[in-house]
Amino acid sequence: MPFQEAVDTLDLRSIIGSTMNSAEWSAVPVGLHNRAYFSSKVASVRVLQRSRDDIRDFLTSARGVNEKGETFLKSGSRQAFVKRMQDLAIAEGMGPLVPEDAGTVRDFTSQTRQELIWDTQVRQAYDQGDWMQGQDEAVLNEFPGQELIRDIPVKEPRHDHAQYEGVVKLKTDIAYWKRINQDFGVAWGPWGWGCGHGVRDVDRAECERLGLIAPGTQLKPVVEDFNAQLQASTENLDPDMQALLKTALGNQVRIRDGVARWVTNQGNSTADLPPGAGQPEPAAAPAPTPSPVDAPAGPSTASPASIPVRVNPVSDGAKLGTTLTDIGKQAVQHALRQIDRVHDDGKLPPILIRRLPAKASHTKQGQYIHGGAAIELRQQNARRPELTAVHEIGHWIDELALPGSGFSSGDSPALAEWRKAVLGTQAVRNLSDNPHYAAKPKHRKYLLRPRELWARSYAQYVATKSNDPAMLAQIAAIRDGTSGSWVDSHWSDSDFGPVREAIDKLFATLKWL
Amino acid sequence: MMDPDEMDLASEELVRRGYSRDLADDIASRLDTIELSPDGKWVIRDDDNKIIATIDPV
Repeated sequence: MPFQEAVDTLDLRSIIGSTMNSAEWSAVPVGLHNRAYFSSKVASVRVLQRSRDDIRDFLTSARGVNEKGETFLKSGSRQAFVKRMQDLAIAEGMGPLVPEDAGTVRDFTSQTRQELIWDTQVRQAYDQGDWMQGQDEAVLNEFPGQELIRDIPVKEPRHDHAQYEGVVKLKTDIAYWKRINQDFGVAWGPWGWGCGHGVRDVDRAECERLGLIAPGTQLKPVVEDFNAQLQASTENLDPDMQALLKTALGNQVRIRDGVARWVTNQGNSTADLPPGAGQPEPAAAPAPTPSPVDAPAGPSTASPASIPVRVNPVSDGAKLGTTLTDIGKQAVQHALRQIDRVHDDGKLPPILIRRLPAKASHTKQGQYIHGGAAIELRQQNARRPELTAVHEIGHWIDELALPGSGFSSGDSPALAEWRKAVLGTQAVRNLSDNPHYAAKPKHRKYLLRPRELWARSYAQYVATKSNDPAMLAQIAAIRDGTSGSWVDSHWSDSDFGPVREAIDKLFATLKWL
Repeated sequence: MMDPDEMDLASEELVRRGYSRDLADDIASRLDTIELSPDGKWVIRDDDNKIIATIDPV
């Protein structure tokens, strides 16, 4: 069972590549620092993405299925993570800058460095997750205090922490806990680089005996207060700090009116952030231009949904095959995360997601094989991997999860309202009637098939409901005519509204939301 | 989702294999979802679920 709060905290971190060292990173406002997945002097976003995905796989106990149908734990141990990342770092030529650093913590290819990354990231996720759980009002009032204790013996204990050992303070005393954590500036562990301290929960009776809380007093969680502090740290930045951030981080950070935010376009989470706190902005999508026959597409105004607890997430049924490349896996995992944010699926039977066979046309992006046999996705030169993955998953849901027999989109009464909505859109009317499309009747016929209308509208539904920048940019590219797809194969925001409502109603009826 | 160029290429390939233009176009427009036969061929059905072709991957 994954420790969801720990996974959530990792998902909040934008992947930021930079040549900054640890000392330089420590100068970055904590609201940004705490929302970044980075490693000292590592500029490769791709390598960091792999590192974060491996840690995430561990935290979620993610499993894959190989081509023989055998299930395996994707990231089962610190040792396996270290080996994989060492191999990747060596393949990427990320060895030490000077020979004397070889094998030390300054060498990204070294075991020591990768172990440090694992320990820090896993511990940060767990400790922040613990803190979040401890801020639940019922828990907080049952165990209002905590005590700094030594968890792990270290070679060189930090003298500045000795004064705090054995002291009990309320969990709501953010200032006190932040004072201990000078390195990371947060109210939870790890409490500093090379620190072996942890915390022990202290119950109400002991806190009352110590005079920390009066009998009958009810504490309120301080998550919002803490987030406000994180947010404040990213505001009113002085010009020197703004210049430093722009120089060191380039387009990964956006500063407007003295407020800094991450800008991300990689496959990490951008939704579900608490208010403020360096919340990333989506990378700029290609500027939409009006189509000749429809309203202009624009960026979605959907607000990010919170992460609901999924009883039967779609990702449970998706088994990633070993023929997928790392980048291909990341695209699928990203797609699945967005789907999980949006809805459950009842209980889909498992499906293998694998590479599109080499024999398939070199322009083919993906396909769904009937009966839930497989989803096959292009791995090289994929045009829109995330959107394609969701589109093909849409076929899987259509055939095996929606009520009805076969592909339900065609004639299931449960989808009557969706059919009415989608056939009433301007985009579909254009596909049917606009002479512009008459030259390619087979493509028009294909695009107007109910199952294809369903898969495309499902993909756009997931993209807009999750407010996912990657997929929204891919749809924007279709809508502005730069993708090779027909402009009217997807919908403008306004045109899509009734379709989105119909799918919302359908999924609500199925209790998938 | 298939793009127009993707579908054109598939159709051309099928014509090269001896299918009529109309049938090749029809098959090409159905390749986003396919059925696999036990020997790995692609089974293509029309809207009435009748098999219209069993082809090697395109």
